[in-house]
Amino acid sequence: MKLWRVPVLAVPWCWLLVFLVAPLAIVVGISFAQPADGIPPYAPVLAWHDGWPILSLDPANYAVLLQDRFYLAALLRSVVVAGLSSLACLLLGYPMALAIARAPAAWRSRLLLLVILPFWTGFLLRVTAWIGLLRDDGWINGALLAVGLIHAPLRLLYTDFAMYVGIVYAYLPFMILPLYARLSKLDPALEAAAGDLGESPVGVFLRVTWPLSRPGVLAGMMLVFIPAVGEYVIPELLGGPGAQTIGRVLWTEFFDNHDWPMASAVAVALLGVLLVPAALLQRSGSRRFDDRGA
Amino acid sequence: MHRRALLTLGLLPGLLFLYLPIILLVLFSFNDARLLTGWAGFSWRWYAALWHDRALIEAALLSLQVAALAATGATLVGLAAGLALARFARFPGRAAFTAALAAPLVLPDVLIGLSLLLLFVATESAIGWPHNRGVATIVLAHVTFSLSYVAVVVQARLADTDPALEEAAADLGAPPWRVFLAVTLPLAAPALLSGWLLAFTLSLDDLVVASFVSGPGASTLPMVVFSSLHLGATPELDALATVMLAICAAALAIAGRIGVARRRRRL
Amino acid sequence: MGPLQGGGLTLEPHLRVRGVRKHFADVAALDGLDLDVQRGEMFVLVGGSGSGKTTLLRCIAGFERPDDGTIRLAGRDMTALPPYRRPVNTMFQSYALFPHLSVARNVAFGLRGLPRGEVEARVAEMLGLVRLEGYGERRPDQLSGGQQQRVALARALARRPELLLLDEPLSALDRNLREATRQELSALQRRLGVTFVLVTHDQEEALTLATRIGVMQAGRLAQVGTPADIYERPASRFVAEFLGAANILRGVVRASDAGGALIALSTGGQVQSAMPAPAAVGHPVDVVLRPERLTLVPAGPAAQPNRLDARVAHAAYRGEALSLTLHLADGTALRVTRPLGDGLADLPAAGEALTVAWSPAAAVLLTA
Repeated sequence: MKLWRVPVLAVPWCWLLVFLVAPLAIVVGISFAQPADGIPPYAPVLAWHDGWPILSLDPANYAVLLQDRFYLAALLRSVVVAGLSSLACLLLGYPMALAIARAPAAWRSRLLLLVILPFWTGFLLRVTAWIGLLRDDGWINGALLAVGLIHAPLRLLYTDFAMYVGIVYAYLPFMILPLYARLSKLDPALEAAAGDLGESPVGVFLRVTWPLSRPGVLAGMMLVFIPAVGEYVIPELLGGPGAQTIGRVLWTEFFDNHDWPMASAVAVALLGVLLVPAALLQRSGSRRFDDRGA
Repeated sequence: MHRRALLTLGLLPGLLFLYLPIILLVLFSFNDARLLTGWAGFSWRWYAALWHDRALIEAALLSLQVAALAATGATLVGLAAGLALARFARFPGRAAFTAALAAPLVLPDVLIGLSLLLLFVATESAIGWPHNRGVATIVLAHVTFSLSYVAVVVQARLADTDPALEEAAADLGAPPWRVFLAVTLPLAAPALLSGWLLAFTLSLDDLVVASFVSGPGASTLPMVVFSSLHLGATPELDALATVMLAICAAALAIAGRIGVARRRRRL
Repeated sequence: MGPLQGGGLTLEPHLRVRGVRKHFADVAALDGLDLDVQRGEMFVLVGGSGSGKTTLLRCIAGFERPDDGTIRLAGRDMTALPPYRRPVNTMFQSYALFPHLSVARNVAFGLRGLPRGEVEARVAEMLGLVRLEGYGERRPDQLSGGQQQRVALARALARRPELLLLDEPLSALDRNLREATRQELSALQRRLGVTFVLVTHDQEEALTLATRIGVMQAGRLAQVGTPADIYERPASRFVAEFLGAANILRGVVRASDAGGALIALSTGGQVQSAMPAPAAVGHPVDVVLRPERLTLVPAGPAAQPNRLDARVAHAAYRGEALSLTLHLADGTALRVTRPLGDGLADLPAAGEALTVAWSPAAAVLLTA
């Protein structure tokens, strides 16, 4: 290898080792520790005895994780919430992606920009907008009351409904962008040919457009599912107190209970849950790296 | 006809869903009332309140400082990573490198935040650094999760350019450092710019990671907004969102102008 | 520098490649290749894809390091030098013009270290050479394909290289432009006297441009010689079929001496060749007959050598010529190209009986 390549490779390698690989290893290590009073609030996993390192791994946290239904329920709930949210994103995003892909060429980039634009206003401020819409004295209740459809405000904020709306709102572009990329590459002649061969428009969609867009669908669903599983902010701000997703549980264990080992064990569980969709994303052809690799 | 129907039916509900909350938010940031329901007349009072909110402005300045530093760091490290992926066909540990680089794209914020905090706590007890968590630790964390995005953009750009360009430069007598400065860097420049902007935005937007790795006294804008959102949304936050929206729109307009001017010059 | 000052006491060729090997993951791209190119030559490398011609060019330029062997230029060993320290420049197939630099700055790219005035003079000279005066401030994407090709040439020549390498320089141009550019390139090379090594897969380009051709096959040179040498006296079946069309008939040597040979064809009939047989009497040989060297004569006594009776299987009108596929008595196909002298009057009909004839000089013998 040529000498000048060494620093080019070493800088990002070292960065990733120090700030990504090592921290994850520490998380795994501390997940086997016991909480203790003091700073940091856990008993060391690694101890020195007569010059020998003694590793004391205590699986107690994982035992709690598996036995206490609270944690398993949170994991399951996170997966369900993320799954339903990505499905909702698909239902809303597919027609949008298709419409943009079939729009006149000159409009496409502008329409795409229109879809992305709201997401540059700041994540928290987008959530703010929904709080204003959904609260008891918010605009939706105000409008419904004024029209006379209801006589007492509906409970909208701090419900599962609000949480789903918030997640779909936050992650919709992650669905639209890969779908659009896939759909815009489809040769329109394929659909024309199917129509020419006697398929109805619905048949054309079901037998040609949809099957050919499936890699984009998979990529989009994974891109919504993955961040939604670990999401903390939206369930916290829009969901009810019962919406204990895994991200929220981790946060609570860490910040409120100061149980760092338990938080680490929850983090490892979250990592395990993410392995499957991450592998699916890797396979879906939307591999962002290494399409040139050996 | 068919196409127009698809455009309207496919896009309109989605765009309404995307824009209605924002339009209402902008509108009510000018509402002269404490409560959100009902229009009580036009007013700048929430913008004035924003202007006098010392905590918010200090947090915004801190966030901008963190974002600028983190974006610059992520661009430098991401450039090296993208360069390695696009230009070094084979090197030891390429598969592991690729996986490690892709990880921040799929890891949840809570996981990145927790793991980095545990690292900083461990290094503090081992080597005494960082003694105080704050700007430095937030910047390091933000570089870590945004360098992958920069690497993606840089790699895509370099993969699109003819590798013969760099060979041509060497052929014309340029040693490797000059090939890099005179050819590779200018070719990657658009990707570096968009990578920097992306990293800047990601940093400005981050609440979770910053909450983990920050220490007392260093609160970024999202951290301040989050704690006041816990108390409920106020028109002042609507005003803040409107200001951000305006800055964003202005930046886009300027970028668009530059793009048009550049295209014109080429013709 | 005179032509005799190449390499000290012994008269060494300008470019000397010895025993160069290059493997890519178990595939031998170059397999112990030797090549000599004289100063001022226009040497053309031809070969199929994967024959190693581009790898050889990249080894000479310095983009690839040979696994084994040496490359010497103007008496200096260049094998270990990086590309930026070799007195060699390359014109790339894609042209590789820097899109972010103007035409003038592209041409000036290799002129670092020269005084400013001299750089400007050299750029102007080079742009004049390729007839692009006044285009210096344009960007490469504002030029036509032909203009880009000329900028690439000017840029590669600006450093006054000892050797210019050209990788498929005309392949990106359309057909009409290619022919005109070929003549310009040839004239320019003769005027400047710079040694050119050019790679192409286009046999017509090779035959019209080259002072000498090297035909590459599986990482080695199958034959090196002037275009006429290679076309008229191909050293192997591969070379005969690679450059130009060839009918190849199997036969057995009946008699052979310094003045020629007599071959009995396995399809029947005899060949009288002007060249001695490459094999002993009684051994098999291949007879190469170029389609355009065959003539059609009225049917006559077929017992004479260099005459074969045939029937027309297919006749194709090609504008400037007529392409005939004939079948011999045993069904062997024979291609004949005949100029259309008197128009269409004598277009033969399918099934018509004809006799094909050729001169002894037209029959080339190869070891079978």
